[in-house]
Amino acid sequence: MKVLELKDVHKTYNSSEVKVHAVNGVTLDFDEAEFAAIVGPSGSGKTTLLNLIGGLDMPTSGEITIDGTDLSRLKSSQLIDFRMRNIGFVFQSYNLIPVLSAKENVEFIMLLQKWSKEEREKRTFELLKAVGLSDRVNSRPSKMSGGQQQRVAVARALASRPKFVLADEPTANLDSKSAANLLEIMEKLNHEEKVTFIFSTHDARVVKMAHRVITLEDGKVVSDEVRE
Amino acid sequence: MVAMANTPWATTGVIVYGIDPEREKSVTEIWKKLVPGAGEYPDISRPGEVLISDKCAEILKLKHYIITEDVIDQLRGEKVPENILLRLPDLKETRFRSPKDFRDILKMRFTRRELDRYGNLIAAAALDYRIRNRVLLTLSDGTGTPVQGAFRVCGIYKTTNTGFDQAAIFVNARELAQLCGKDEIMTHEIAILLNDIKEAGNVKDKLEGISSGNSVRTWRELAPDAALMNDYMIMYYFMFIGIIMLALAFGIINTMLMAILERTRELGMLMAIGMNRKRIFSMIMLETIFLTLTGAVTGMIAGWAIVEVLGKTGIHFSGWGEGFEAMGFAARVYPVVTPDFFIFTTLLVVVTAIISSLWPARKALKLNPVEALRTE
Ligand SMILES: Nc1ncnc2c1ncn2[C@@H]1O[C@H](COP(=O)(O)OP(=O)(O)O)[C@@H](O)[C@H]1O
Ligand SMILES: [Mg+2]
Repeated sequence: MKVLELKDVHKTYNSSEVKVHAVNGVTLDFDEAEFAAIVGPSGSGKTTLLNLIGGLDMPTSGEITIDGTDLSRLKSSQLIDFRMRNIGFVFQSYNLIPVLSAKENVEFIMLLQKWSKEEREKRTFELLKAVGLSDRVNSRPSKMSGGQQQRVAVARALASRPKFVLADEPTANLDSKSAANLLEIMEKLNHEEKVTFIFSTHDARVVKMAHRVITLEDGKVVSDEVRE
Repeated sequence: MVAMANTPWATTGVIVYGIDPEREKSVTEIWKKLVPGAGEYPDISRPGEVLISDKCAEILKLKHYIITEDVIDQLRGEKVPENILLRLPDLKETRFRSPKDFRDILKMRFTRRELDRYGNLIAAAALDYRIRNRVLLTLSDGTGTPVQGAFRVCGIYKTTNTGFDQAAIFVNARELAQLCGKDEIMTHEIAILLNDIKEAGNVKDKLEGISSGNSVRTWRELAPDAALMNDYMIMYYFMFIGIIMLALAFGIINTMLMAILERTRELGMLMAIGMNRKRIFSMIMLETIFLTLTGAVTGMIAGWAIVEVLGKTGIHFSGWGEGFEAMGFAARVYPVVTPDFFIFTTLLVVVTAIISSLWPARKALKLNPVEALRTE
């Protein structure tokens, strides 16, 4: 079964005099354990598309189905819960909670989901080890480099074993070495955890590492290629 | 009873209260207001004793200032410098009958600064009363015949009510009756101290039913100006509290709105990854309440400490002292804070905090995660 399906999804902004078709009829589907990049110039609709997929925003028309559940049929409180259980988020500017340590940031969602202490600890250490931060467990975000913070964010996104992880330009604030390192870690986790990663980027070196590249232009998918 | 009090040096009008010294203790607090080191409370076993106030002693010239070797030793013990003490011995054994005379002498000897620092200490140490001095009381025995009795000062009291102090003197009720040629004690007044001041009205109504023509008065009727003042105080208290709470509410709202504005992105992220509205709401509320409680606890400790210190030293309203005293209040006020006042204020602060955190919390709920995440 497909993890994620989009059927003729549109998102139109009416805020100013002109209507902006930020996403203009996108139809896509994703399998389990895909590693897909969404590329396109600035303003092509990457962020808008990821927000729609993540249930943070509602499409003007079209249908988004995650693991057989049509997002538009969920009430807002159900949607929040659904999001927490099924989707991991990685943001461009890390967005860790500044007053919490790396471990506590990763643990946070598991706490919201009321996992037991042993389960939480086990999962947290497993993930921090996977992202190569076993030695920074108790560090605050402010004491870590951008690359390290983004790796904590990836660990946090995976904490509750989501169906897929959405990352909007996760490497945009990183130097190329940290970016490559982050991508390697994401790819490894994609493989080990069998979780789908969908990330947007306009960095050519990051694009090279993707297994599937979806190109957007003016809110439309202009190419969708799978490579090995 | 109204009487004339005489000493060899002065005369003044007083109101003599015949009391049962032991039973009086249960309704008034005169026995707690004795000036330390100046005599004691009347005792039935010692006949002919009278308890007068500091004010009355002053008028009757029973109060004086005298420097003795003991006084100098005492001052030395209180760490008054030697160069000040050196200028005192030649005043020895001279009696000054009024505070003013004593002050004037000191003024001639010391600089203003020295006086400011040590004047009160010296005056307090040098103060002496003529305990056991005779006071002659002249009063009417009820049939119009004047009678006279000699009493000895057994002790000095001082309350915060100067008007009361000036007039009220206390003798043993039985002796007062004897002086007037009566075998029985004539009871003019029965004081009833209630556990709850609010019961005064009810108790009055009940007593009036059985008082057979005797008048029953509440404290409000007996001291209407004190009652009025008390009402004003309560009114002012609520006005001040109201203003303070309003300021508190604005403070909280402002602080929390700033906190939310600063953390818009963090809140957006929390909403995106799965914090629901209920959790966001309670997070902001709890944060506000913790913030307020931290402040409240700190403030209360500080407030309690200040009241504790001022309760010992008193606040002297030097500028308005005379006005205060004329109204029957002491110029030196000793603040006291009762536990229920503390509890009431704390509850009020908590309630204000909760109410004023509602708006910031609602504001946080209205954030759209997409917009919130976009803010820089
Ligand atoms: N909230 C909004 N209101 C109006 N227009 C928007 C809004 N968000 C995005 N857009 C417009 O939608 C288009 C796509 O934006 P976006 O999805 O951010 O592109 P990308 O992430 O690829 O740079 C842009 O033209 C942008 O101006
Ligand atoms: Mg974007």
